Amino acid sequence: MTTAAEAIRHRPFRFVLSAWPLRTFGYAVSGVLTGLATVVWLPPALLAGGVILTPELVRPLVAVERRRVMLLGGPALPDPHRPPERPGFARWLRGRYTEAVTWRELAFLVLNGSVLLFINLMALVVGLAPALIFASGAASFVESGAGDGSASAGPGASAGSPFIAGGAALAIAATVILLGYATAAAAMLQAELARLLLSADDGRIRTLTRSRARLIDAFEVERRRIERDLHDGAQQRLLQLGMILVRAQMELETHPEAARSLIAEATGEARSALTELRELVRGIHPRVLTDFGLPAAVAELADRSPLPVTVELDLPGRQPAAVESAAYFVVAEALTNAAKHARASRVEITATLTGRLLRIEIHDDGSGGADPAKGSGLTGLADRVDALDGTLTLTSPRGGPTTVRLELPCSE
Amino acid sequence: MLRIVLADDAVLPREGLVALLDRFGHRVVASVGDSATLATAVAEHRPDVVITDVRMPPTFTDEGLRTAIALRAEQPGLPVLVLSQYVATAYAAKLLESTDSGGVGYLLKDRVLDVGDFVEGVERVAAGGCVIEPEVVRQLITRRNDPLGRLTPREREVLALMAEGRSNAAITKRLMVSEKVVGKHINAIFTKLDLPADSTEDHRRVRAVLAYLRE
Repeated sequence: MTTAAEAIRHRPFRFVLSAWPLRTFGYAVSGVLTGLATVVWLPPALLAGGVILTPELVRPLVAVERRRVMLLGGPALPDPHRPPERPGFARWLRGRYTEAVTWRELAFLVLNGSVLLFINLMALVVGLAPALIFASGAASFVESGAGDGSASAGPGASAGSPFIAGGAALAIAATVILLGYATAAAAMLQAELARLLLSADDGRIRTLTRSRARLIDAFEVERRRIERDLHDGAQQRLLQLGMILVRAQMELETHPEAARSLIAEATGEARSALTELRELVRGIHPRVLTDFGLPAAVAELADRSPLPVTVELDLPGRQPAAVESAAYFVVAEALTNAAKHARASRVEITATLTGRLLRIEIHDDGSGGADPAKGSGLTGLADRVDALDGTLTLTSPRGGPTTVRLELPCSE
Repeated sequence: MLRIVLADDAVLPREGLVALLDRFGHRVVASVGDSATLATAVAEHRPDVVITDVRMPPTFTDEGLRTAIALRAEQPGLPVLVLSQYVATAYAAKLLESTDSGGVGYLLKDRVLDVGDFVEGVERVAAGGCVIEPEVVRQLITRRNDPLGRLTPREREVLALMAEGRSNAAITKRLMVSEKVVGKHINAIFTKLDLPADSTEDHRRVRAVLAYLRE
């Protein structure tokens, strides 16, 4: 499926004979309709709703505008409003009024009811004019032709009219082509304006792509870690195991005692290899999280921590897999840091679900001073959390205590 | 008895290897865990052969290989056997390109478990020979299947053994045919593949064959 923007670059004949001039004309015509609707609806909405309710009252108009660009090919503009993270009217209201796009929508509607309406009216009139001229011209031609029909023997009468008709047809064709381009250009400019004012907040797109790029980096780092762990761990262990068995084989005939102790050593080696693989697999994705959810998985993390950990999770039901997994790894990383770097003596983990917002707090009484800039595992996790539209904050003054706070929206 | 300097950052397999080599009557005079110490140990002990892992600290990329090449640049002819956890023809090629003389070898670390073959490989490298991982050769031959179609299956077998660094005598023993027959196969291979007619049994031949396969 092409778009108007692509079609206009084709050769003139191909463009004019395609559906695009008509579609762009349709965009102008529908612009007249929505412009008139705006003129009718916006002033009373402003009067009745004031600043607070107007954005809500004009919402249908904006929705129509977002879809109207589909006339020019391509998808409808996405609605960039963020879903409210917390329930409650006041929060919703604040969320809506702090978003720049709310006010850009109003600006677009004002333009749509004034300048754009004027342009579209012009397009409508000029666009219909050749059709009208053509229609009346054809009508008079038929009329005169019909008149000539009775007097076709008249020699002078038929000499001039084909030239006039041909010239008129050429002029009309040229006008139609020019107008086709003009209408298309006007429509595309308007659609571009709609895109600028009505689609996503640029700032958000930028952070999103940036954090997506960082997320890919984080995945790459993670894959390398797994490769390294396998290389340094299981692979070496198995090699070592193989070598012990080779030696055992060689001793078997002559020194059965030595062979027996080598085989015992090999068994120990196999056991270590299994343990290492199990640890690695858990680091990739913990089975218990998949099977039993966050509370069970966090409880298991707490059990494995060398520190005494209090866990208070108030989480009914299951959360989306990506949310559970991000939350799990944040808790795991926080616990590791508490035990390894902070020399904490105890850790508290609390979690609540308010509305659709999951909140987890990991608090330790260690020495603090954690700096995410120093390549902490939390940086990679922050990107992951960011990608899920959540926030991860770290409070860790020198001397402690350290609190890691995670908020993740659980959209369906 | 060979005097060996061994470098591998993984302690357990390294100690295992020391025990294995010892069992075969060779002596590891120094076993080290990084490339800087490897260079010092080589300077100090003047071993008969150096065995080193490719991947070592600090970069954990190809430290061992680069150190091996540097050592051979300093001491031409120093026999070096490089071990790696992965099959990479580039390792073998780099090593062969490094110098003309002295033994070189590149083997998959797992080859240690075919202990007889492995120790024989170490001895061949120490004696100035060339040892190339059969898995590398197998991959190269599979990749070059098309142009090798001109060779008979037997000739392909001989080609693989040559690429692994086997001498004519070793090939003869392996295939259980007469040396004359092996010589005939080798001549046929060199003619068919249009290789430089330089069939002396040092690693120039290995290099020519590998270069052809890698092309």
